[in-house]
Amino acid sequence: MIVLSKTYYPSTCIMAFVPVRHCLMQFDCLVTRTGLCIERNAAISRRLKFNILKSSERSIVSKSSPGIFTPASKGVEVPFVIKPDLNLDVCFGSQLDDLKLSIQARKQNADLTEMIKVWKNVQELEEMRAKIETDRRKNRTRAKDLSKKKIMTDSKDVKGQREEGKRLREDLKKVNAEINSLLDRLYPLALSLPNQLHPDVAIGTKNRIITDSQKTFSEKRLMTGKRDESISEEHPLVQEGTCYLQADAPHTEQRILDIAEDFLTQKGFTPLSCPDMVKQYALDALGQDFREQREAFFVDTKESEMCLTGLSPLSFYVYYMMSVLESNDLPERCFSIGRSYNANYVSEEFKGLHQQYQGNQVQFLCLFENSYQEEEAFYSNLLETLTEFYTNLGITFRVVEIASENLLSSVYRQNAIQIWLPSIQNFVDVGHLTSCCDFVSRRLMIKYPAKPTQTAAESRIRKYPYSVLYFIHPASKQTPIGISNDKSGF
Amino acid sequence: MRILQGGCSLCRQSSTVTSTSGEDRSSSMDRKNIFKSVKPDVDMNHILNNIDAIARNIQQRKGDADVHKVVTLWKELKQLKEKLQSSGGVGVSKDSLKAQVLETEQLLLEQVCALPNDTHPDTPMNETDEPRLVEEIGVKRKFDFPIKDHAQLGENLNIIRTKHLGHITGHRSYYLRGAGAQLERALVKYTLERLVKRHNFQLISVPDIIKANVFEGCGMRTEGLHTQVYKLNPAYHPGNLCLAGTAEVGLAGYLMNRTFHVDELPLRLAAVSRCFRAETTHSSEARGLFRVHQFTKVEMFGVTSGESSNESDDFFKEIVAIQRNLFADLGLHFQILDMPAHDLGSPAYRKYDVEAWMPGRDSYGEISSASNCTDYQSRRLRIKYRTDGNSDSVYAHTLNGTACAVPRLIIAILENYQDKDGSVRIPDVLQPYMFGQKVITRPVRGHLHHTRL
Repeated sequence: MIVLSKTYYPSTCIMAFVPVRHCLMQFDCLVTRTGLCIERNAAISRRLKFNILKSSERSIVSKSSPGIFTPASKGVEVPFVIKPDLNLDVCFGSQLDDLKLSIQARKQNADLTEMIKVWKNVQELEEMRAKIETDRRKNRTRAKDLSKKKIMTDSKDVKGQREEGKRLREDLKKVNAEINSLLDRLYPLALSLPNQLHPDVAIGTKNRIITDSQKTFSEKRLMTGKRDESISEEHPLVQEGTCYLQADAPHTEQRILDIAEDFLTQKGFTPLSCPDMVKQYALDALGQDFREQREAFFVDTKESEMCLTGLSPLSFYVYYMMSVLESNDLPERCFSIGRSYNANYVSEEFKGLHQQYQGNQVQFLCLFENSYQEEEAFYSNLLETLTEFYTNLGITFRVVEIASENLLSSVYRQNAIQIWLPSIQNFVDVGHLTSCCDFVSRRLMIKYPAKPTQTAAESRIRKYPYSVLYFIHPASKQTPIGISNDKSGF
Repeated sequence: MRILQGGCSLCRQSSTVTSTSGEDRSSSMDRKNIFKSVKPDVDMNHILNNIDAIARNIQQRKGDADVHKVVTLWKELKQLKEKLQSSGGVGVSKDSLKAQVLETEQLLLEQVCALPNDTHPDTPMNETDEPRLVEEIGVKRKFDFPIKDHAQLGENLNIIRTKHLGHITGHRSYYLRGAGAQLERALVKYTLERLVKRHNFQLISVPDIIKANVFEGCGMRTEGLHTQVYKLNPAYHPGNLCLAGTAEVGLAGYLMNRTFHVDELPLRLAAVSRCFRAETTHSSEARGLFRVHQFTKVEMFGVTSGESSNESDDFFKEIVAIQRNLFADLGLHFQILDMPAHDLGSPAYRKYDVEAWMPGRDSYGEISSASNCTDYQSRRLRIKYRTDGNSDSVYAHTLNGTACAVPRLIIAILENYQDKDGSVRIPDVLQPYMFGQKVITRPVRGHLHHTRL
């Protein structure tokens, strides 16, 4: 996040740990198939991160999200008011140069001049408000004195005091209205400002390969042209483009989930079973317009319109939304196994397992103390954990660092895990480790006590934890590739 | 419903038969065209010959279908068709007649599809309409301390969260955390292992978003005030898409328009899926996990022949026996009930419910059910079999049963296995799936303080 201040937000890290159906494509149970149109890098990046979004799409992604900011005029219409702590004092103050650098490196459009102008106006008005409030206090003291002296109510002094009181009230009302009006203008713009960038992030569009493992595949596993008996894909009356997994495939799917569950439990992660539907405004917290991107499914319920996303970063974040964690609960590490849904993958024809609107996934989230030292330590540790997992699975993979122009606003830094697919002779993305620092926790008001000796309930000064996360996004382009498998691990 | 031999003028026979092996499949486009012509195949001769019996059946099942209206429409359609044939030539009157025929045919189909299945002769149809107790397994546990319900237990143990979620994930949503989430996975793994290894079920991975026609084919209504089916917003998602409330719909869709050889039957299928239900009730039983909008479930689905009418009966007994063993081994006290006619819904010929004792509710609560739908669903979904290569294909019988409805089983386990100190013992059979854990105790960490600031 741009700012660190007296109020702290935890860091958050979510990772699309195992998109099971992508992994399934590597294993013998599915053998090989042809006719699958996969646009691997683009397609999975879409799902797992934002790294291949075109600049026009990025502008949609970074669109401001009024859902997590309640304008003053709407305050009476909602059950509670939400006002993210963006710490604009520091943002437009000591860290302004870093902010400009981040905007430039991401090639984002942000009218900083206008925002700073509005913010300065707000500050001037707040100074004015403070002065009026001081005057009101003085006026109230004067009223008490006059009352004690039992001066007649129609006397000149009492009348003057009352008129002064009335004028101050009116002035305060006007100033408050003006501040609210300016904040209503400023917040939607400020919410679109990006996170800071990690110093190691490569500037530009070219992602950097960090580790590259040996490609271990056999020629016989290249595309054979045979239909795969593990996938039943022609069910247009059920839903065009959908498929069923049959024979060994569903067992392998379950087995991968079991392996991931065992692995993460042994690593000390807490399991979480999450709801599949969230309300629209919760989606806005990630700075994305899901309606615009047609990514979530919109479900008509009697209660309200709900968004079906299944397992997603949101599932984790909203669990902690508007809550205070105990200091000694940090680092908080949890994982979830579940279905994920993406409306962008609904298509007329079956395009491969990786492009199904429904799939099983394992994701994890880490919340830890608000410091860059902690971020460094946790990020490296989580990357090692991922490397260990994919190594244990026997999959040929590599780790790639995502360049600045391929990052979303909320991302501080991001690494992709890519697996080798012999059939297309290329690496494809299967997961992204994403650090968000306190970008999301500030928006969703996820906090922990600033003083470790205080409990969450006792604390008044609180911090915002840091995190690592995985986003799901629509595809920007399509590249046909085939699927084949690499090794049998099960 | 009885199988119609030789077809019916209400439906156009599908010219393509799909095989289980996937051979001889027509191209995707051809199949789409074929599917467009598929309509439910209903035995009109059976209806016309049994009007009074069907009317009585509807009354006993407290259904809202009208067999007399079906007959009237059938006669009307017949007359219109005769008129159309005799009119000859081309012209405005013929086009108008054709339109009337189509409209009447559609109305007739709607009315016919609303007719319920026949009812098993042993199904309770007494005056009190109470279910018949088939078997009681285990005994009620006696507690020597004040008991808590699952919501209290779950909250104290920090394994179930239902509070502070309405504004984010909606009414009646929940999170399972720690041992709660492990219990969910353990129940699924335990059930799947039993079904696959002991009972030779084939595991299928099914879609959760499915077109409305498959629901209708299963005998589930997707329209109306009291529908349990969530629909996707058509403004964003065209195609009349719904969220499955059970994997039965996905599995039925998997088998749709398929013809099996009799030797391939009975077919035993199982699926794990997320289930979405509108659940419109506002009663107090909605507290906690009892009536939630989304949950995980393992479903069994069977396809049998209908050669001697005993095949589906036998398979029904098999499904009930599997359920009995699954829940008995979890150490639960439960009863198996033969459900009365008015509780069968439209598709079931016979239905058994399993109700487990839930001390926190001080009553039995449904944890599972098994239904024999005979050829009711297969006529609507065209699931057939043939005895040899040259014989006519006939409609198969379908059956379904819940093997594991996770939230209900979690309720039963937490409430029956609770101890005085608020901890919960884990049933022996689940311990291997929970890393050997034997007791769920209140964790020291992980408690959130909720705030609106």
